[in-house]
Parts: sequence; structure tokens; C-alpha cells
Amino acid sequence: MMSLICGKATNYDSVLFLACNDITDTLEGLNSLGIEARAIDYDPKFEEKDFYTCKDFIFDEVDLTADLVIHMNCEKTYMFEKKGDVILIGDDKHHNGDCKPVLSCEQLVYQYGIEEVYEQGHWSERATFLNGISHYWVYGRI
Amino acid sequence: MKFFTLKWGDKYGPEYVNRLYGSLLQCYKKPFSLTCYTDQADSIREEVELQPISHLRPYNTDKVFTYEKLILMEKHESGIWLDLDILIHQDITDVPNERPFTMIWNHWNNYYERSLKWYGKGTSCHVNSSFVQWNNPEELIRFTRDNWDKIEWTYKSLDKYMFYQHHRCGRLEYWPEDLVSNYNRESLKLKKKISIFNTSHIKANNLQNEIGYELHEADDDVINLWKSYEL
Repeated sequence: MMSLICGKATNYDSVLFLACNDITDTLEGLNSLGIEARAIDYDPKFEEKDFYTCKDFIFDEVDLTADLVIHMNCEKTYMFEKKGDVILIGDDKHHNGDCKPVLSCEQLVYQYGIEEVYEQGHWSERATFLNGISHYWVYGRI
Repeated sequence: MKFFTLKWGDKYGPEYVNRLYGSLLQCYKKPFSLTCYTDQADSIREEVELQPISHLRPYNTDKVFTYEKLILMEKHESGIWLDLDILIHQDITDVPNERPFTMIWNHWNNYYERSLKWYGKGTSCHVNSSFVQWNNPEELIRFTRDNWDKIEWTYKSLDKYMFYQHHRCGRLEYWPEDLVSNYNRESLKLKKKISIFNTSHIKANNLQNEIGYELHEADDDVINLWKSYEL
């Protein structure tokens, strides 16, 4: 998924990742290409980390300005408010820290009010012998 | 001092309220009142003031477990709320009257292993709302009102909301470490002045390896003390 995201990101001058955990290598790589890439994640481990703003992008005042916003874990947060191009990614893992599992691409389109879908897709992985997890992504414009 | 508690459904019987009142009689030596917001008033001793819990439920939601405590603070400027499943076993008369919003910090858990390590997953919670004092918490009430839609979407429990939003931003105070202990996490003994018997998080978080005893399931010494408060 990260290679797909980076492929899209290289078409933009500035990229913002949300709820992305540690993607230092990706951020460094994009910045080395002249793309202004940064991340917002509220985990305290990012307080002193380059390219990171350690805030809650739903509840805190944050700057969401970017040509492309990429939300890596939509199942874990309320919907952010930002117009423009986005990549939304979420899963149906039903982790106990999730707010609302993502069960389809259509759900992401509906929740965020996406006006134009450029691309969308999903992939699955096996979590246990009997059960799997599906990940959904939508690339479009809000 | 004004104490408050909540009781709904059938998980806990009226003896929990009656014995909580008895424990205050025994362990709090200043004038006090206990108000119970409930949907079932039967068999609760007459010294306890009763109010309908529906007064604390302006939102039709099954999320943000025990959010009624937040509404309680809108209706009463100051006080202490007590969960029914705590056992007060030492004198607490010296609890100050006018502390700001004060919660329990889970001293019995390792902060890094239990909370910080999993912070981004949204499963952390290192605060507990079983014994909470407040005094005109305007900022907290305003923040909750202004952000209710987001809060309801995001948090399964009041404690998680308080931890992820208000602890993160340094808005919470905590009781001294020598006040509250956790019976299930601290050797199944009554330590300090108040013991909590929380088990709801075990089911909520699917913690299959964690054992928890409710107050009525504790050992005989605990049960005998608890029952003595009903006399």
C-alpha cells in the first residue's frame, strides 16, 4: 500500500499523512524528492520527531494544509474537515481501539462526502486460520 | 460534602447503594449527603436521596460508557462521585472540599507497558473514574458540549475520553497515591483507604488473561467488612 501511496504522492507538491504511526523512511524519501511531506499523529513518541506534529487532528487545532491528505487509519478517528484531494484507508479488523470499522470503499466515500473518486480498491490478509482482515482505500476529492 | 452515585440495570443490587452509604457514615466524619441517580429505587435506604437517572441522559447513546457522570457535573457545581463497586475501608474525612477535577491515576499499572506502548492503537487508558471530585469544571463541561459528536463517535468509555483528551492536554489532577488501590491488581488485598474492583474493562477490551473479582466475589474478610456497612 505504501508504494501505491508514494506513487500518488509524487504528483503533488505537499503531502500530509494522518494517524500514520512511524513512517519516517517514507517522509524522508518524499522530502528528498522535493515534496513537502509531513505527518500528524498524537502518539507521544512523535513529540520530538522530525516531520511530525504530535497533535490530535480531530480535537486539536492543527494545520491540514496540503495538496494531498492521506488518512492511514480511518477506522480509528472521527472524520477530519478538509477540502481537496485525499487518500482514505481503513480496515474491518474490529480492533478494540477502533471507533468504527471500515467495511467498504463506499462507506469511506459516504462518511467523508467524497465528490469524485479517482481510484479505489481493497486487499485482504489472513489474521487467524479462519478469519481475515480487509483493508479498503479510496483516492478522490472531497 | 455532597457525594453522588449512579445505579442502573440489574448488575448491582440495592445493597451496593446501602453499604456505600454505610461506608461513608463510618469513614467520613463530616456532614455529607449521598444522592443516587437510578432507574430502580426499591430497597434503597431512606437516608439516600434518589433522583431519576434519566435526568443525566440527554443523549440517546450506548457509547461513552458512564457519560452520565459528565452530565452530573452540569447539574451540581461540586461534589464527589463514587462508583458503587468501591469499598471505602479507612477514614477519608481529610479529603479536601474544593479540589479541581480529580481522578484516579492507575498507579498499579506500568505506564509504558500498559498505556504508552499502545497509545496509537486507541486502547490505552491510565485513569479511572471510580472516585472523582469536581469543583465547577467549566472548561471540561464546555469542551464536552462543543465536541460531543466527536466524543460519541470516538470513545467507548468516559475514562478513555478523559485519558486521550484531557490527560493528554494536562487538564486533569490526580489523587495522592496513598488513597486508592486496585484489589484485583494489587494482590487481592485491601490497601490504602479505598479499594476499587473494576472488571468491566476486562470484557470491554477482551483481556482474556486478566482475572477480576467483583466486590461481592471478594474473599470473606472483604465481604464481611462490606456487609457490616449495611447495619
